Amino acid sequence: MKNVDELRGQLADVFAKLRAGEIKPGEAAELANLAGKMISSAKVQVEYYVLRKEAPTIEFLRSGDSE
Amino acid sequence: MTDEQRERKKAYLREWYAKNRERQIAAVGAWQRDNRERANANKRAYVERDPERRREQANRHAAKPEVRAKAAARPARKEWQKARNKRDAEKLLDGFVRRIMAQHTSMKGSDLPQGLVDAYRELMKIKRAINEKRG
Repeated sequence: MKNVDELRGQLADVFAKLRAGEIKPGEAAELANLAGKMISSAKVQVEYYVLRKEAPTIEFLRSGDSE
Repeated sequence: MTDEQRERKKAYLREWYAKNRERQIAAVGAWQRDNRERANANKRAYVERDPERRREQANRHAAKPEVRAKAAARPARKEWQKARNKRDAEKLLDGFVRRIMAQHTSMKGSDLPQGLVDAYRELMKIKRAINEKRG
């Protein structure tokens, strides 16, 4: 998983599988927990740069469209 | 300029402003309407320069009896805001997700990149679905 777009795609996939009953809520919760950690860490990075009034490119947040 | 001259000048300017207040306000208003972009940029710069002062001004304004009376006379607005917040939360609209993400941080919701917000929305959907399944 290289960037946030892929993460979103994976999460959408998990959501669809959960709805369809292909995975159990416990398994989905584990994946959601992990994704939450990734998002939180990216958020902290964004907050750091906002506080420093900088706007560098964060690789993880670069979407495929903008490349 | 001596202190006395300075005081005289201040008094003159105060008097002049009292006489021309309405005309000045109208002129500034007209300029702001004609130069909306620049006026908005100036306002934004002012807020960024001194957010604390802006907040105090806004609080002072909101505490005025006439402003409070006006707000109280529009209870429908409160209902409308409640309904809007509920709709935003149900549909996981951008503003709601950004607000949740920016809670307990020093950021504003608008500081967050769209990609991150979209990913977090998916996460919220999963969490809701899990809670639904678990009952």
